[in-house]
Amino acid sequence: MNIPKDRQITSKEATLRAIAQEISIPTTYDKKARSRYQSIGEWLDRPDSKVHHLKPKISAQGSFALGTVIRPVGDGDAYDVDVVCELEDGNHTQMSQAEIKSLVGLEIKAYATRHQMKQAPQDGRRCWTMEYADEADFHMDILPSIPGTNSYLASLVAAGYDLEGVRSYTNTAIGITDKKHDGYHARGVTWLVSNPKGYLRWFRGRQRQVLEDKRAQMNAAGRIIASVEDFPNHEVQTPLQDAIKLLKRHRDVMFDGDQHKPISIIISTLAATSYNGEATISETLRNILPKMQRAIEELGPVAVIPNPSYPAENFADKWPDKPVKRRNFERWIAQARQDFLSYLAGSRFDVIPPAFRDSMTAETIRKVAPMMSLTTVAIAASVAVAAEEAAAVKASGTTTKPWFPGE
Amino acid sequence: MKTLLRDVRDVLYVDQPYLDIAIKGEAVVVEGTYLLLAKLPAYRDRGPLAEHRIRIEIPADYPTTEPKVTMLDHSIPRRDSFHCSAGGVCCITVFETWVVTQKDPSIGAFLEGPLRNFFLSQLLRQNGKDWPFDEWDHGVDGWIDAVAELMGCRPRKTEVLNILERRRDDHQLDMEKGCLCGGRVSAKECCGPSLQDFWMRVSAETAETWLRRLVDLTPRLSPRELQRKIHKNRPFRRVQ
Repeated sequence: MNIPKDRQITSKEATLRAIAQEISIPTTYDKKARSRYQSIGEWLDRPDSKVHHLKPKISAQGSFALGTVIRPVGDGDAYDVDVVCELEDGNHTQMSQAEIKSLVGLEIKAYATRHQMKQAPQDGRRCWTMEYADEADFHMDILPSIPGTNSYLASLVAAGYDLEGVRSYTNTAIGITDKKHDGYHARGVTWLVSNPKGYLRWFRGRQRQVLEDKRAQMNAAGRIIASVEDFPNHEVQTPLQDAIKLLKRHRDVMFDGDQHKPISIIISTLAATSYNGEATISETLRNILPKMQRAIEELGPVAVIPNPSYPAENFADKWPDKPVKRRNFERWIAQARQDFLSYLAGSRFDVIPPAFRDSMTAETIRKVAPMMSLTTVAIAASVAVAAEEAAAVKASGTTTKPWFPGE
Repeated sequence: MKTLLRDVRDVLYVDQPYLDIAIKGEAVVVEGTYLLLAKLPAYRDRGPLAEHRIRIEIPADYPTTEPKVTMLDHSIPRRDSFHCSAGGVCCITVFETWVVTQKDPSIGAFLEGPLRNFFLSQLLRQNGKDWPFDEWDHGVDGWIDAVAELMGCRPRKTEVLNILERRRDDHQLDMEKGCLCGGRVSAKECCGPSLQDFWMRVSAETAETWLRRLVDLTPRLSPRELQRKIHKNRPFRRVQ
């Protein structure tokens, strides 16, 4: 097969980039998902909507917001699109969680009827779930919420946290509806708090250098981006985002259908915490995998993985009740490190080790492999390379001589 | 021990996916397939230059005690000339002199330095090349050479012994007097400057340890060998 030169893969970095591209949500699906939740946002905010006076605003959260959406592994699996419906003028003293939830629900049901959706929206514990069953399967979880700055501050103070470190995330906190919350039906009680926009700001902040570089490039090309917060996810892919996608694919393959698989938010949080501004996917993986493994190993008997934008929230809060979740995470991160390094360290760029191939799925590799093109450097003889390496050691002044102590 | 374990992991977790790391008794034991990797950017995507099944036992008191590296396969010949014993024990380098010359004799520095150099050298040697970084003579002679190089004096046992004893006894170096190596000029014009450096690097306790090491390394002669040595320059003449 003749591959155009610009598409030829001649390095491990290019291989990883191609795999990340292959497992990413297709651009058309991404656009479709965004247009769908924007359409719901417009519906909720139309003049005769029952929540219009509360100023509803729709925004993505989770992997759609972070830019780390990957294709499902199984044919029957769907994309999960998590969105927040924030009622900017909602107030917990005037309405209970149940009232807000049902008010939003009425509009969502009306939207489903208006758009002749086959399934009626489902009333979940926290969200309204809509099923889109066409060529691009989506589950859309819509989380009703109100501004939650006061609850956010109160809960952090009550838990004894220093507010100084989270000052920049205060304004984006929201109060969310939760059927299991004690005050679900009561007005004036404190709501459960979440902070998806704060998390996104933290996540972008971890990649500030890389994003600033991209922003400068785009500005130079005539596309003005005011700040890294304004970057549309579909327009820029960073090494950290690609690395997280690869890790999530590894997780999905390893725990196909297992409900106790490592959750994406913990993977993203640990990866972004470990990230150090590396400019390539391979460097990112080499840096973050050992650090993630160590972070898990060094957790105490009660695992605490705080939400960086809301430290009172522990992403690992389910681990004490379900120890299998922790064991699975430990097992997964050790396996992921080995499988990724088996390629990054243990193989030539055009030789995909079986463990790595299986973890990304053979089908994905089959699409990437034909683009690989050998280079003279890749097939250089070991002895010739060793001689150059030895010369480099000599130049660095770190030579050592072997010695035999004798019998 | 936990710090040592963590240090070992920090170094090996990044590049060595096939090495298992565990605490066994009083040592951190690393076992599995060691990948000899190219570090030059041009060859990073080339894959490992060689693979060796090895076990490294790193004692809890590292760097006081040397790590023991044992081959678990036959990827390098188990011959003295390849610095590998019949039992597979690799003789990486003269460990004690390496430690005192390092700013950072951490386990990471050992694994990235002498250990990697050893396997890099093996690859070239097995392919008919010279030892790229040279090699020390076998046995006590090589050890004396290494210590003498550090002292900056001639590689003679008597001189090395003398200097080590002076260091052990905390003898003050006088640059105006005769050199400790026995040279005819003043220390300043002979080994003085390098000996000053040696005095800084090697403590009295370390000198004491090295003296014991020198005794251990010196082969015990059988009566016949002793007789031969005594009469090396005076051939025994049987009285008729």
